[in-house]
Amino acid sequence: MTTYEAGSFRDPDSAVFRSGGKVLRGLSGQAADDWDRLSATTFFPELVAAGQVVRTTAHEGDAPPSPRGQPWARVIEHERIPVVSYPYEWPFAMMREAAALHLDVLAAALDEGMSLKDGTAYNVQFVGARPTFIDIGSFEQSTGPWPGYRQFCQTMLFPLMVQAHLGVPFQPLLRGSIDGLTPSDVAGMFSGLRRFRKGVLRNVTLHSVLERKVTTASETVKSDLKSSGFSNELAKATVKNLRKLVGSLEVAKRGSASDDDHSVWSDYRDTCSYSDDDARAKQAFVRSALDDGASGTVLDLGANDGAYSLLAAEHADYVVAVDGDEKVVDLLYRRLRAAGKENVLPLVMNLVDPSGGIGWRNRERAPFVERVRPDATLALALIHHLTIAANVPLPEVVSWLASFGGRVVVEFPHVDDVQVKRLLANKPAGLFDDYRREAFEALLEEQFLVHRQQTLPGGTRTMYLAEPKP
Amino acid sequence: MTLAYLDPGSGSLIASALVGGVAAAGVAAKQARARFSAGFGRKRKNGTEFSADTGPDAADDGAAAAPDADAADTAVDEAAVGTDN
Repeated sequence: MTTYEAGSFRDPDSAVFRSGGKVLRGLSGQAADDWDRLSATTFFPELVAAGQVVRTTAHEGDAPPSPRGQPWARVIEHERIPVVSYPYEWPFAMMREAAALHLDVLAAALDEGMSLKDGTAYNVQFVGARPTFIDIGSFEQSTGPWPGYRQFCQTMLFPLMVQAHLGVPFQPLLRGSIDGLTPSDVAGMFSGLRRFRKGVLRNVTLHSVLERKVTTASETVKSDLKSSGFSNELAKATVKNLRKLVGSLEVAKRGSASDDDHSVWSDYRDTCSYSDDDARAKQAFVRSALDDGASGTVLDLGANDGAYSLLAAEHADYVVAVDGDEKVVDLLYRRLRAAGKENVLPLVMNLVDPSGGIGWRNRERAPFVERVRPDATLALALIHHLTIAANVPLPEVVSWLASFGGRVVVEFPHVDDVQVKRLLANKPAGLFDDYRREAFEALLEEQFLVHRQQTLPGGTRTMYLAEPKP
Repeated sequence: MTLAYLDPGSGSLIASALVGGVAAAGVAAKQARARFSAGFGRKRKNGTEFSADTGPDAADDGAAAAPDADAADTAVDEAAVGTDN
């Protein structure tokens, strides 16, 4: 059974499809020539060995016709990315790493007379904390200025600048537009003195003016640039300047993991209400729950600083750590990256508003829930936030947990728990009378087989290990 | 249109060249003279004051970037000359 990736239609010269559990890419005659050229370079195997470019090999076997109905000249096979993520799910530091990698790959290619035909953030995926370039179809013979500069600005550089210079998180903006932020969109944000922030004048201000004023066809501009002596060296200079700029962008006060920058959740581990006994009992429960069956992929919902994601990573092949607070996920990413962790993928997402399908027919970029099929799901210290703070009905929460398909390890804070009381204090009395342990257990037993349960020593929280009923 | 599957936009091509270096400025100037429909920034007032971009762009990325910035401004100024004078 062959299925084309819904997000792989934009390049007529190559497209990714899945067949027999493999990730394959069909190549046109032109793309096959570029692939041969790429295979003969010295940088390509080096970048693959370093994990910076996805491992790719020739594939023998039948290929389906292209999405445009033509036969492919060649098929290549890519190593599978464990869980696909998108730029609007990356915290700042992940986007910066992705942008730096994209430019490093391009710089290496330019050194050997090749270039990249595009520059979108969707060319990069993460294996744990390691970014890797996946769009092998993008390599082509270098012919002049980098044609991907505009996409690079729109989907990577501008989002980074908006967050670094203006303090505006880029994730909602990228989620709102698959092609990112246009130069004129961003020019409007950098009015007045803001246009003098690093990199803005040339990449934003001048870019937006040129975008408006230059109406010559791109191909004419290309040949004009060429005839004026635009060389590969100049393309390299562009990339070098961009790389320097990207490396210098930083969110205010977020340079190190030990800074004094706080978000609602960044101090959670210090201020949360667990006693040492509770924490130890909870950890032991989670460990034994994960050992109790196959734990290929674990989804940690509301991962916060990732303490339980890291614990889970000792018992699972791969962990996806999701939290709605960009700042804590950013700090988690920096720690994982520094430690070289490749089996924990941290993502920013509001669980009450997870990523949906975007782009062409709402299928080009898949909804989050279609990209992760966990063997086990952790929902620790989460239920009270969904039900009381976000008003999601308790039966809905339980159905949602079941929808992930695997075992769940869930913590239910009782109504007399100090954190639950704090949340309830924000709401009119009596509004959440259905938030009771008995009600939760009844709901859980409707949809799950509860294998184990344990109330923590403090007496205000109960842990459950449950498996969806067949 | 067969070289790239995306149309990066003519302006973006020139902008990327300007990010890269001095030589691209000549092309920008040529494009500018031929195609710009209107002047950039402030119109020249007295023959010496051109674009508002000169000082700030030089300050933008530090001294190393200054030659590029100047080149860009030259292109811009020539555009103004070509259309407004």
